[in-house]
Amino acid sequence: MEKIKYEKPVINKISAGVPSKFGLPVKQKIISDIDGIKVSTLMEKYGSPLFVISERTIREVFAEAKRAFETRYPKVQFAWSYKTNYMDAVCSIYHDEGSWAEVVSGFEFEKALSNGVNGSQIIFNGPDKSETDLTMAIEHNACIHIDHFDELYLLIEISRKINKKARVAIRVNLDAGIYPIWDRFGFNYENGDAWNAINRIMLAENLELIGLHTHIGTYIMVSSAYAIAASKLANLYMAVHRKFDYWLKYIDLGGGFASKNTLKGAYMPGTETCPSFDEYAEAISNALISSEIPHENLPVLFLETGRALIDDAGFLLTTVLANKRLNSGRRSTVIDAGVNLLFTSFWYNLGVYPSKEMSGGAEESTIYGPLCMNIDVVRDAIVFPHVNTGDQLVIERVGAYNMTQSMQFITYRPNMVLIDMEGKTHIIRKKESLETFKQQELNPKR
Amino acid sequence: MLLKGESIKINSKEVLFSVLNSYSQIFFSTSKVLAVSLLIISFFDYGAGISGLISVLIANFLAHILGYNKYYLKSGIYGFNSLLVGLGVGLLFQPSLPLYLLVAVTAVSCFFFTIVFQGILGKYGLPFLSIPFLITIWIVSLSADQLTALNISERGIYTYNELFGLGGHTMVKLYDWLEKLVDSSFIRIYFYSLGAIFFQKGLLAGIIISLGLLYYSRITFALSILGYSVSYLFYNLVGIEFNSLIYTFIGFNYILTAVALGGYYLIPGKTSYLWIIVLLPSVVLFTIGTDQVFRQFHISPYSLPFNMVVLMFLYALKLRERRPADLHETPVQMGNPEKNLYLQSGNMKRFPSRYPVAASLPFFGEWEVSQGHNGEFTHKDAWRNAWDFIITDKDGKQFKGSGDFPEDYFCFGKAITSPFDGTVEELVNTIADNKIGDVDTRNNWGNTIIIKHSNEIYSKLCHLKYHSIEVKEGDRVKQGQLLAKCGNSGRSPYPHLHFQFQSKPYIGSPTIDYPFGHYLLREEKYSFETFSIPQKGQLVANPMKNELLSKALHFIPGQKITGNLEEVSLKTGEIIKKEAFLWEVNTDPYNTSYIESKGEKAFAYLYNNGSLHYFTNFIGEKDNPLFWFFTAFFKVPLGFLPDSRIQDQLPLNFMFGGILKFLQDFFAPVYLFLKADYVLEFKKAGDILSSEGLTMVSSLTKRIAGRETGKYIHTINIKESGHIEIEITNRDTKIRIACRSEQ
Repeated sequence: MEKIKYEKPVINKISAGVPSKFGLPVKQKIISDIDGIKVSTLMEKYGSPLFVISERTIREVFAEAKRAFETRYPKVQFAWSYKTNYMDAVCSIYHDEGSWAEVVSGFEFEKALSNGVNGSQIIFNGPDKSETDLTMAIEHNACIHIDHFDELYLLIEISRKINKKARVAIRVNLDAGIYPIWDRFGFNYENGDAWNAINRIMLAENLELIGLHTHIGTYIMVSSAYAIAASKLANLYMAVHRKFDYWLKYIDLGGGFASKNTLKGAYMPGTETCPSFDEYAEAISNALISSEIPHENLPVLFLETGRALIDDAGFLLTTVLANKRLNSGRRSTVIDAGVNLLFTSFWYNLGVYPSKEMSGGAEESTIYGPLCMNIDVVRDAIVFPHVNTGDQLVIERVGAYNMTQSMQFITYRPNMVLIDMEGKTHIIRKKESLETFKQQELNPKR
Repeated sequence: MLLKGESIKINSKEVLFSVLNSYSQIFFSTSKVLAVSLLIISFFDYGAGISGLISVLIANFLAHILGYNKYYLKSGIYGFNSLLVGLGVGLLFQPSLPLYLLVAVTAVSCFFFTIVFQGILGKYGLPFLSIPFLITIWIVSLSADQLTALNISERGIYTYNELFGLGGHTMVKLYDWLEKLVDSSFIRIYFYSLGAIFFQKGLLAGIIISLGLLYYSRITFALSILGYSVSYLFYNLVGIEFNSLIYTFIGFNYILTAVALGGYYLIPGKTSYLWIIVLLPSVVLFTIGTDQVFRQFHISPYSLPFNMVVLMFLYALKLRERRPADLHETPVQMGNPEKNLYLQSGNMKRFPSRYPVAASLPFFGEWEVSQGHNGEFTHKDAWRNAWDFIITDKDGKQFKGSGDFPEDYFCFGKAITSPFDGTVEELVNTIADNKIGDVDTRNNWGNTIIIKHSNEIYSKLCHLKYHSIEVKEGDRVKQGQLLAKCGNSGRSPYPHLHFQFQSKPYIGSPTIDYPFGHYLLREEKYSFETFSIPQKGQLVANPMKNELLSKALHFIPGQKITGNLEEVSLKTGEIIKKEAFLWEVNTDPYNTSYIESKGEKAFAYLYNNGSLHYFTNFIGEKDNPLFWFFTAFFKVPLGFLPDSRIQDQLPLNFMFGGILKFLQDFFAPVYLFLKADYVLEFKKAGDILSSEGLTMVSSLTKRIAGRETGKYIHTINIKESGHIEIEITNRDTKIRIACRSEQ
């Protein structure tokens, strides 16, 4: 008979609900493999910490979103939000699924072009578009979403200078019944700025207005807000037709769909509270179909969903560096991935899970990152089992923003790996080394 | 009535054509070669020849001066009855001035009979055939005895004298030689009967007419022999004296009936040939019977049996409720049985006239057929022609999670749209959705909408979601309009859409076997299906319209298109031909649109139903750039379909000529060994905003008995500006056509 392992006794403070005499049972979830590949195998091969992206999940989630919209609305086009994750390997998968590219800078524009995206299938958003960027966008026949009047004037000037028509849409901000209203981007609907901008564009010689765009916010947890936004854009769409006898080509409702992550301060987990693609799709298509627009003139519906599509496909594998009992008596764990890699840990209570079955009870703990900085807290309160130094952990739902927003600070950024449809692993970005920096740095003192 | 200032002048060419066509029209043709041979034959007896010509001129002059339809005038419709009367009267009496006066008078009355019968029978969509002639010639024949100033003709008695007068010794010798050469009475009577149509006796006229017929149409020639042979057999079978046909003008009834029904008013085919065999014995009986009656009055029934049988049969066919695929009235008269057949054999597949409703799928996105026609569960007996549609994911699963709730099913709550324009006839909206696995057999169809599309075609959509219907009874709905949400009410164990076509407006009416108009079928690649029935397990979706393509192929009457053509020899690289052209879009009185090549007499007829562009017909010279335009865009789906293809067949007379086609014509009603296959592939279809130009390749492959003998490849570029460029390559040359719409 095998010797039973010793477990330290733990005293848990009972804090909420009506417990049984055994306290609150916590069933610990574990993630031992990703797409059938053992976490230990991955880390052995590619080191720790390690970003892992699952192509299977990307394609499955995309198919779900696509089905949700295409079975409710006749003309739907997704555009991959580059800023959410612009790793070339990731973008290529979305383009392969038929997505266009949605970019917000000259850099992203160039990246989309280098990924083989046709210029006319790039949507150029954002407040920062230089003269060079705009010239490039016009030359490539991109869809330029104008953010402010100064950009509009610049665009009129450039298109006249290079004597080429620019295909444009305007970004509209509006009151969709949610807080905050993102009125810093685009032209306001309620005060008439948007209508004003439309009129100026329609009369401008070298601009062709083809669409209307809005992006009401991020992590929107009520689908009805999209219905309000869609019907306001539909009003503008009809107004353009009435005044100019012209049908715009599309309405772009941007992104902002919530992923299944749990926001800090939320009472219930995101998996329970966030609307599904079906709910967003239902709200948006109902609003458009039941609007004044005749059904044979319905616009193409563009969606720039980023987070909700990719969050589930990303994992960060990390290793326990140390366990510590804080002065307050609270247990804490230090891991080798911190806020330098997990930008979203500022917003979310990220799910951190062991990669193997842990015996013993769980205890409320704090998980710290490896940085020598006080702010480096991955989770400040999590009921977590007793892990040991060297144990491998998995942080789930980190596909959105973390890979592109991870920063090089104090230490090198790690390998990023893609697991393809056949279950093969590929490095999609190499771990940094001193060489990486020496290439970029210049030292006049030597 | 002529408007002030409107010219009544006509050119000599029009006069010539209207006269010539009056001759060939007797064989339902407008062939000039046939006309000239008939004209010559009519002058075998100069008195009759002159009388005939006078009649035609008078009738056509009247038609012109009184302002009747120019098209009918030009094609000889107004003249041919008067011609027959003129020939008949001219042979009845000796040539003299009073005779020609009589001819003129009869021509006038025959012309008005023509107009009257055209008016009366035209209302029933029937031709007037030679009824005006019959009435006029009977009146003249009955009064012949009283017309004492005119001498009854003695012709036909002193045959050799007449022949000598016509062509001297040569003619007499030729006559003798022919009489000796053809000694089979079967063949002799065939030629006699043909000649009799022109009131001619003797073999020569019959031989010339038969050669004219052969030149004009192989099918007509074959039919004349078929009709004649069947009646010959029937005469022998029932024991009527066949040789009597030599000296009566009635044998042609059999030939004309066969020609008219077998290939002209009906599309020639196995079935039409079979009907000739069935009908001709009755023509024989009509002939014998009427002859007995008319004999009392000393007149001949002439073509009365032919007129009676043809009109009766055509009228009877018009009253059919269903139109079986293999016995079709000629929809567009091309004036030639071969052309009718080749056009129709393709168009039957392209535009089945049985399908006036081109329904789209009643939903958005891609759905799967979970039960098709004659399904294994509920699509049986009277309700066998129905479909069940569900939504599945790529693993074929139709729900997420456990599938215990209707909401888990992908199709539940999805938009259901109108398959075609129509009126909401009846609806049920108040039946609760079932739990999964439950069925409500009391309200079998659940929440239901019935839409009336035409008098015979209704569609029924069932098991809709409780209180989801957004239309009211009596609402006019348009194709693609939102009707309701997919649900789980009625006899539905899990959410799905039940769809059927039916011929009655009631819930529970039996289904009819009727296809969807067009849809995309997803297999390895997408294929565009027209008038097809989706099968169980297939993934189907509605095609999305490509704005650029729709715009480029949307031809508006009055629109002008300019362009140029350049033909380069592939061997030498030399430019063989260079020309500019101007086309204009127009519509004819039947509201058919066509593109006309200005000044070239070339016409390309087209049809566009919003989802597909078709060219339906081409008339004119084949070296016209418009012909290449016609072949390049023969059939183009306007849907957004990257990497998809569509197939069709060009009427073979456009691609083949000479001896091969001559042979094919004989067998055409039974079997086509010549084929011209058309395949169109989208290479670059642009994107959902049609922001880029698009590239398509259509190829035309000529095949003889399945073997490829020639290929034309059209590479088509449509620019964002709507400009169209076509490059056609075959073995020897490369033709470039560029065209654009005038603003």
